[in-house]
Amino acid sequence: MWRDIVRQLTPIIGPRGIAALYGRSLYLTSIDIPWIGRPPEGLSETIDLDALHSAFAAQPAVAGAQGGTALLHTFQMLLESMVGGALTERLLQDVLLPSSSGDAAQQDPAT
Amino acid sequence: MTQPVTLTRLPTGVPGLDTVLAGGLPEYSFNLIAGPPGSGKTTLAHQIMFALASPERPALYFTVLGEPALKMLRYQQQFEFFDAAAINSSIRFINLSDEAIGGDLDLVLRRIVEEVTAAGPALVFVDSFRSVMLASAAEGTATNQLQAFVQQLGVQMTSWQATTFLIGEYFSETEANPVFTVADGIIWLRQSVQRNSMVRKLEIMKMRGQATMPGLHTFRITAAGIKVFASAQYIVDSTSSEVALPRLSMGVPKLDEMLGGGLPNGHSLLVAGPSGSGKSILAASFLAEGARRGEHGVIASFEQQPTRRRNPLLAALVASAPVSLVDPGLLDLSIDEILLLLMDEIERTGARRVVIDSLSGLELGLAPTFRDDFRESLARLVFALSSGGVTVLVTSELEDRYTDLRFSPYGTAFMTDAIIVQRYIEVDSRLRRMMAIVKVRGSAHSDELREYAIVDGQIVIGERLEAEEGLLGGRPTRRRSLPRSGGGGREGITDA
Repeated sequence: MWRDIVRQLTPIIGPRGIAALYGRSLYLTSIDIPWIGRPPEGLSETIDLDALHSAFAAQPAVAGAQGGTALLHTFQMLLESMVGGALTERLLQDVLLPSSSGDAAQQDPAT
Repeated sequence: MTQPVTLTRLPTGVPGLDTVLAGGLPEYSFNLIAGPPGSGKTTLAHQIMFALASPERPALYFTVLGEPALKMLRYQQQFEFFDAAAINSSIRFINLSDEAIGGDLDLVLRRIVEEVTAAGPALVFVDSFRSVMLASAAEGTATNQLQAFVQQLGVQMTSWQATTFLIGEYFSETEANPVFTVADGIIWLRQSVQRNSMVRKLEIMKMRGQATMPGLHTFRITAAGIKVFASAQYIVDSTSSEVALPRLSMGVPKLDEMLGGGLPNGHSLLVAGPSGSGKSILAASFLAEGARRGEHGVIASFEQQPTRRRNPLLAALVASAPVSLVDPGLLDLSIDEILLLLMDEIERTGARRVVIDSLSGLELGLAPTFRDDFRESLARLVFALSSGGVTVLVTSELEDRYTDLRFSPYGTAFMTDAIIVQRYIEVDSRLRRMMAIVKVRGSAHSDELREYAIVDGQIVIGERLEAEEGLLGGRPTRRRSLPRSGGGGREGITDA
């Protein structure tokens, strides 16, 4: 899913723009879910999806799913705070709208 | 003989801009939108894009190194023209910061061409082009390389049948910039700051293939986006003065007679007088008389206290709709903006009578930068309205100066067709009012000085003040040969 998000947003806000948003999402999520890891120090130009994958792999399935949902939710909220709900939905529509891999995104954001 | 190619002009969706552009932007043109930071370049580009883009006419918006794309989207969506549903359907944003950051213009060009080739857009925006130039300068790219880049871009975009816009953060107008040569159109945005006032201005410095309106045109940025106020253009009908014009009644008994049968239709009238002399009341009577005859009226009020609150007759007219109130309610106005507001209302209502109350208030509402040219701007306003066929009444504060005989403020006497002057005089230790017709162009009129009073909110004109002389000095003396009372001079006239 994160690869889809990167693919969807990179043409619009550039890899550095996504890396900055992702870093901030990671930081905010890690306050409640420390195992998800902090963003690397300094300027990031890309998203380290391998590190994220490793963090998930080290967790039980339920905790991993919760962490993944929390991170995605934070990212989505962050994007919404910048450009609003309608545009966020528009920018991420192929990723967040119903799809075979979209279970996490379809969950209630409040959960 | 072959016919020249027909240039299709695209409506920009920016109110007033198509008028300045003489019909819109030529399709497939290569345009530059330039100006200092904060002048509205990106907003203008977005407004044009959202107006023009459609599934059949898609747009690509390349963001380079200037404003981060997220921030741009954040702020641009505050405007009413922004349509989130158009994003990723008829409008696509493409970030080129990675290509531009290295300063490799070839890479930037290649990427643009790739995307344009793949998407086949009808509209291409590159924001900001200044970033491309700076990036290339950092790499020591020679000017001719930049020129080659721009020329290549121009050729490519035109060949791909794309109308293109380069948005430039800042350019010096005097700089011999290669972009200026290549561009078909240059739209320059400016900000004029004077004291606490800021006025935005736009100029079409170049637009191949069409005769655009020259000079600077003010514009505003509101929640609806950019609105341009094209400089007032007017055509003086040289034959009109030779034709006997129908007359309009002023709604004040005896005043029509003094004007030689009413105010000629299409004339402009200046009513000048000191504070409290009844200028606004006369203006309201003029509009009320029109309303009585089924003519719609428009009043532009620049008074600090709304005119309708102080003037019951006008309040009733505005409330019952035969008169529209144009209350700009803004500071830093330009004459062109006021004229456009008036013209829109005249067109909407079919009004034949227009009142501007007053010149003094109007001057205070103008941005300081326009006050130096007040007289000239005023002339344009009056001529533009008159040439539109409406009859205009303008009120103006004129302080009584009994040692200095003046009939108009600001040296405006020449610009109106008719002048009524009101003054205070002292008679028998009482402050009385006096009125005279100074001029009615192309018409005989009364040369009498007549006393008048305001009775129940109406002007009541009396007879000629034949018993007094030296009235214009403010302190008339009684003529010895004529009786003071019973002679009709002020008979029946009482102040309210």
